[in-house]
Amino acid sequence: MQILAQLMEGAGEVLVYAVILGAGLPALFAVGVWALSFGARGVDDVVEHHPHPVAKVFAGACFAVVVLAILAGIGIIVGHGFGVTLQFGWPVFVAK
Amino acid sequence: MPPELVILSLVVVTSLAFDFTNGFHDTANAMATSIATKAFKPKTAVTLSAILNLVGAFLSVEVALTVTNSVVNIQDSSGAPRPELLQDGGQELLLIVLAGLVGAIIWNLITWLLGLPSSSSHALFGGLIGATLVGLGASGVNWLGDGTKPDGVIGRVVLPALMSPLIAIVVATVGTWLVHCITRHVLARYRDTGFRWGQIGSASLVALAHGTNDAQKTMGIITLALIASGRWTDLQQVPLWVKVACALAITLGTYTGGWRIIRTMGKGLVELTPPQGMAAEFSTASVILISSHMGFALSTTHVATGSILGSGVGKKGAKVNWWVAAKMMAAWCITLPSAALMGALMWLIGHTIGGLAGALVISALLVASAIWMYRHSLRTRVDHNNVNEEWSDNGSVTAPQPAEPLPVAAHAAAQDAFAELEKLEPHTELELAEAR
Repeated sequence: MQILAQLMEGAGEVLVYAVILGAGLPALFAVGVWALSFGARGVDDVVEHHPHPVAKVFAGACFAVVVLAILAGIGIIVGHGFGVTLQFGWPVFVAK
Repeated sequence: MPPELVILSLVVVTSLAFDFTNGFHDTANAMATSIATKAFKPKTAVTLSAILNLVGAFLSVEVALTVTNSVVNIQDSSGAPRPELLQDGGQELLLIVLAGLVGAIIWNLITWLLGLPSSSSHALFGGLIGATLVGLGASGVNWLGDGTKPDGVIGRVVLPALMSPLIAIVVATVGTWLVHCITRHVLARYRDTGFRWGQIGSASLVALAHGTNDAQKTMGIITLALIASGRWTDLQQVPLWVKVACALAITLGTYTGGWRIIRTMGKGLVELTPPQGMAAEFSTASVILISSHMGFALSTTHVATGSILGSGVGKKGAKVNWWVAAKMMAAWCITLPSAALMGALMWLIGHTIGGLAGALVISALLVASAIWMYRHSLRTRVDHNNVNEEWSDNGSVTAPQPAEPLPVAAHAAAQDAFAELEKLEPHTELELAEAR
């Protein structure tokens, strides 16, 4: 019973973080895609669409966050193998 | 060659064979969605996945030698094999491990033939549990650990297997729903190109994580066998050749690509669009990384399948093929007991015949069944050319098949297997006749 409670608690925690990252990051990416195509809506025969500079910067920021998250993921995997853990701040890697 | 050395070699070769099946069984976890949405060409996807698995396998500097401890009691907590199993060059322990591996591979091949994504770690643990159960009795199996933290068959394998797909379904449903709300008015052309790019990052993460997790297991098992037979003593390290061999085996397996499984996951469950694919892959990557960061080991296969289902639930109007999903879930439930049954059967055969002959016979049984299933698979070939064909209700490939030469790796493997069979002939005439 104790084990079940621990597992449920762990699963709950995984679920919360996974929804934030696993659903949040695609949503952020979607916002970037939306910003880049802003203004091209409803016109199916647009040959070339030039996004507004502001939209470009905004989309770039969205994509940058997603890329950083992927890099952090790689950091966690690499850190796991070398017995270090990743933290937000400096130094990025600390020994376990 | 002394008999225990032959048995040890069989264990090593069988472990590597398991690693190979683990690779091709799990290519789909990282790459099925990207292949289905055409973010990658099929060959590019398996190549990238293979490279990342290779890198991942070498990244794990700290390899745990205590892999088997989470389900059976054949090692102590430091990783040393139990002394009572070490007579005759560790033959008793080697037979348990060999029988477990053979059971795991046979089950992996059966599910591959049926195109079902079942968990390779469940197959491995199941095989070991079965062989231990008949070899050492129920007390040889670690059912619950010491009861203070989630451990043992129940806490480390069964319960997480029930929870992980549920978590993944929720995450992917939310992600897919959000993505579709946000990009509702975006032209399909922009949307699809954008999200194909997004898939590349998340698919790579899953492949890399797979390499670090799964190659380790076989490294630990081979090292355990070496320690049991007295050919290695360091409990902190894995021999370099073991690491290289395991990394190459899983890489080759991944590159071969379990196309039947990729097809089921990518085309059979949900007709995926690039936004769905990306949401599914971010869900898989985040659930796996977060849980392993927190110390829970989840099955990549269960998480990946749950994510794909979720991406079908989250998109309005998407059709989820629940019949395929149900078959898949049935396969998950029976993987552990079926592999256990195979492992137990193999141990009984090996033990009854006894010694070297016993080990040779179960290895020959493995080779014979592998060849039979490989030949059977050729009747309905699925490869990189037809992996994305329309899904028909019976799951078969609808378009006529061009005659293709065998993939080089599979061909070489088949040749090796035949060579192996010839070597074993004196012991195996009977088994071969049965297998036919």
